[in-house]
Amino acid sequence: MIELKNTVKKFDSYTALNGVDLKIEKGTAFGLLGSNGAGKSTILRLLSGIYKQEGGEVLIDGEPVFDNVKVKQKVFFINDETVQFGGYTLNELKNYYKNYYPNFSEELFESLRKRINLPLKKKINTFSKGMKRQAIVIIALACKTDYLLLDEAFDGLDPTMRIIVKKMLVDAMLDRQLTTIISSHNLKEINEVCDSAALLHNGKIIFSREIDSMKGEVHKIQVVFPKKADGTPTEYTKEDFASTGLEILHFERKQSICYIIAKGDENTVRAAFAPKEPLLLEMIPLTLEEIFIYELEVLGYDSNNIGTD
Amino acid sequence: MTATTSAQTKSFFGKRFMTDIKENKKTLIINLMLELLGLPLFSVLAIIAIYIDEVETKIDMLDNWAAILLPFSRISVLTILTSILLGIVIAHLNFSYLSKKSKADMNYGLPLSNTQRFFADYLSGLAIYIVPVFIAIILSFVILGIGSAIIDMSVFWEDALVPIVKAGFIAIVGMIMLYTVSVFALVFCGSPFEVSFSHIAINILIPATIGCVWLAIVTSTSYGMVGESIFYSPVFTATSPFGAVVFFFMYFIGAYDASTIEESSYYNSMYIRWMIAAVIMIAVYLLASYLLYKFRKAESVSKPYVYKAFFYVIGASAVFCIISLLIATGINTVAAAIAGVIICGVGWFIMEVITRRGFKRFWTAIVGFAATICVVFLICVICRITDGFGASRYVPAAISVESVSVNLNNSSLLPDEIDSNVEFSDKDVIKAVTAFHKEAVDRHYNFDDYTYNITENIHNDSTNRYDKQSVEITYHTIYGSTVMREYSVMSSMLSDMVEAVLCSDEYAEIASREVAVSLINAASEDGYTSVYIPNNKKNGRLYIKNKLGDGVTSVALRADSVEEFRNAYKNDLMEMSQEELENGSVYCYIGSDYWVLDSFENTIGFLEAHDITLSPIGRNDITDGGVQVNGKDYWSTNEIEIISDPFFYTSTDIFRTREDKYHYYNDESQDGVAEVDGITTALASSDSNYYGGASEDDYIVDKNFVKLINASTPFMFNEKPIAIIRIYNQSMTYYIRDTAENRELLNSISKVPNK
Repeated sequence: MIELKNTVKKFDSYTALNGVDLKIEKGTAFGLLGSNGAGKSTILRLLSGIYKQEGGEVLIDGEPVFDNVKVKQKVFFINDETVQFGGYTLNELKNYYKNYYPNFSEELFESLRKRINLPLKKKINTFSKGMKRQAIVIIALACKTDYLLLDEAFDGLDPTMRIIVKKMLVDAMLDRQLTTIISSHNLKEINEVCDSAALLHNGKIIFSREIDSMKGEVHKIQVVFPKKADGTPTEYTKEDFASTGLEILHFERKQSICYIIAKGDENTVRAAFAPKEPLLLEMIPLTLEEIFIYELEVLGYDSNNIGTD
Repeated sequence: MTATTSAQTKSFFGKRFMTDIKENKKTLIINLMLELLGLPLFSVLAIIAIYIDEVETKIDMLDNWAAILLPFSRISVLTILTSILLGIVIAHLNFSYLSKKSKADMNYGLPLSNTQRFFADYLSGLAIYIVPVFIAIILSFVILGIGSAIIDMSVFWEDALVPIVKAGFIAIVGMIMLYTVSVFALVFCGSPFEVSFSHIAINILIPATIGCVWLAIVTSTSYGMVGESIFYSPVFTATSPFGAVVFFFMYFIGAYDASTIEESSYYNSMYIRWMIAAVIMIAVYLLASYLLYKFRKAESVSKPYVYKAFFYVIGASAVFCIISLLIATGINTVAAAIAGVIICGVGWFIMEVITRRGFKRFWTAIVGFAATICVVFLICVICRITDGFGASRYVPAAISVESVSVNLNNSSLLPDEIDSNVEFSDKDVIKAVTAFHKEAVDRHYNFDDYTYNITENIHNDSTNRYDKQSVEITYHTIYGSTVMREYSVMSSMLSDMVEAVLCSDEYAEIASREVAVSLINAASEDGYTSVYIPNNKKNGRLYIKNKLGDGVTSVALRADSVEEFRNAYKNDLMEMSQEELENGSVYCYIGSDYWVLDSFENTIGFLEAHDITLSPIGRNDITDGGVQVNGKDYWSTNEIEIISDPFFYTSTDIFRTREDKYHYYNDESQDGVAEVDGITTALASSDSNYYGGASEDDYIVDKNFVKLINASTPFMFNEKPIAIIRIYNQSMTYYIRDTAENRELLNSISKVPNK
């Protein structure tokens, strides 16, 4: 299990993580979401023992990670760059990592390599960006570590290869309870692969929970209210609904029709609207991307705000 | 995790080490090729040179063999130099992830602790750097061994092997230092530009700063300080790769110069100490590198200076070096200092712009520079106020001195081979030297107790008609440091020191050994032997000279007799009492330098056993040259001179009375400041240009003159001579004691001033 307890990470005077608490159970596929500079990559580097936290604890299976060989053996980190592998052939790179990960499986490596048909003896700098990604992913999977950390894992992969790589990851998760932590801006991929996710903003965790429950707790609501007695449209404001106890993430009104993004289970939402006797109340579940956008909008991370700054 | 934990005990250090070697195998191969073109090729060339040297006289066409071999030897030297510099490249390659962001994650993320990663990277780089050197050395010996089977290389194996092997170890330690310093420069920087700059800066600034601190000390107080002594100090030679290069070349030059006493070379005697000091310094650099590495953060990879303090240390060192050099070489100190501040200011701000990547918070750069300038000037001022931090007043405690050598600069007191070359560790000698040193310092700084003090103007050689003796002292302390001083003093000050040296058992041992070497060399047709080896007995030839230094006879000695003579001479020296030395008269000389006193029973007995008996000097012994008394020629040349005027050889530049403390004058008519008082020796090389109207009528070589020569003594300690006799063609000086009989003799040939 991975635990971050009140973790603080600073880069000189800049605080990248400010008291982060996070728990990731073993065997989970966990997505790290967040705005640029939110601290996603920092969390991955803390978990792989590259960075040392300034405060709090970073634990894997109950042990601190930094400078701990025993723990680091259980973790493989793939960062968002591939340029560092350029001087190697796939075979050389495989042998490089094989030295450090005692569970490395030649058979698994070979079977994965054949699946994606990567050349063994060619220099990696002759590979395309996607091929480089594939190369390091199959090496990482062949190392058979307990934890796999991927930073922008699917960057550069074509749609077919994405499916193959995702399949590889899912197979590993099913076969040996691999815990995968994926940081990505591609929420569709997180949505497809991960069963839990955390949203980070400005070095803090906004929320962390299972994706399905996350989707069930945020709703896009389209509601139409009857006109007033004098025939004018009913003009409810955001505060009218917030006073009912609902957490309104987004509110938009066009005459009598309101478009609302609100948190809470379906029954709670319906109960909150019932006193106002809507003519029509339609609830649509949000995609992860919409949740991301609306959650951050509440925190001021809004395309309108940022664009006009 | 399932099986991973089972491998927890496996050595990841070893795996990292081997991975690094594999990763850099191309560099390893290049280094190996360079090394193979270095020493082994040099060995082949040496064999060819020795072979051609042997047959050269027989084959005319090989006259220009040196020209043929030269290009190949250049290849050899060039490849050796390249392979040495490769240490910097290897350090860069092995620690490239410290300055390349893309590689940082790849390396820091591996299951290795910081300690494992650092030492595996350091040692693997060292192996890539040094192992080819050892392979080249082994191969060279194989080549030389094969060569020995073909041609006679006994001279090489006997004489050159040990110094070459020792020099080889100096080179290897120097290379390890270069590599370690390169690693050190890498760990405190985070970007490629600063890494490259710091490499250059640190390699130049460590020796330059030490040198400039020394320069500041020497320029702030010239009294007794020896500028070049910095090259003898492990603080300079054992702290940087450049220092190691200096030691390497000085060791070779020292080994070459010490043709008769191998172990006499300073660099030879310092070899082990230098090795220990250099290894300690490497350990210090390594430990510093490790600590900096351990506390360095992975995210620092793109920072110009991971530890900003090093930027200021480098900058301050550079500023100090530039300003102190300008002040030392400039005529006007203030102008030099202002020029230095301007030059350093421009350089400082350029570096600030580069390292800060712009003009961000530029006022901090100005504050930093101002603080640095203040510190540098403070150091310079303190150095001046304290007379070079008290260096010129410093006299080592006798108890802290391990050995000392004394150089009297061609004085006839000590044989040339022993003068400055011999390290005396006799406690009495050390005490006498430190006592002399203290007196020299006291006469300059605490002169109230003396009738005259010594000025700083020791290098003024406008006239050499001084009772001046230049003395160089070199102490080696038990702490491994070297203290060198140079003074020009009245010769009377040297009495106790010289007496202690001549009466020491060490002098007896070394002088007798050198006598044996000179005997063997005199008999050798093949050249000289550099070292006396007790069990390596050789025949010799004994040359005897009389008191005037003229050859009298020679006799061939078998090896056993050489040993017998050596023991006889050694026993006489060891048995020689202080009284015998003070009152001794020269019986004869062995070779040109080694005197035999009348009291040397064993030596004289040996000579008599070989039918050699010397009579006192007679008129007929003065067969050539001329005689001069108090500057007046009595013959055609100045071969023998008697000086009885005590004011004739006095100094106005070197010594001054208390009353004349602030007044320098250089007018011989006003001589009279110093006296020829208690002379030990005088300048043997002094030439007389004072002629007093010589004419053939004045020519005189009478029996009294001869008597005076026979009555003269080579040493006088703490008493006043009434005259000096100089024999110029032999560079000899004798003294005439103040006795009634001597006065009468002297009066008969010259007027002696009344006391």
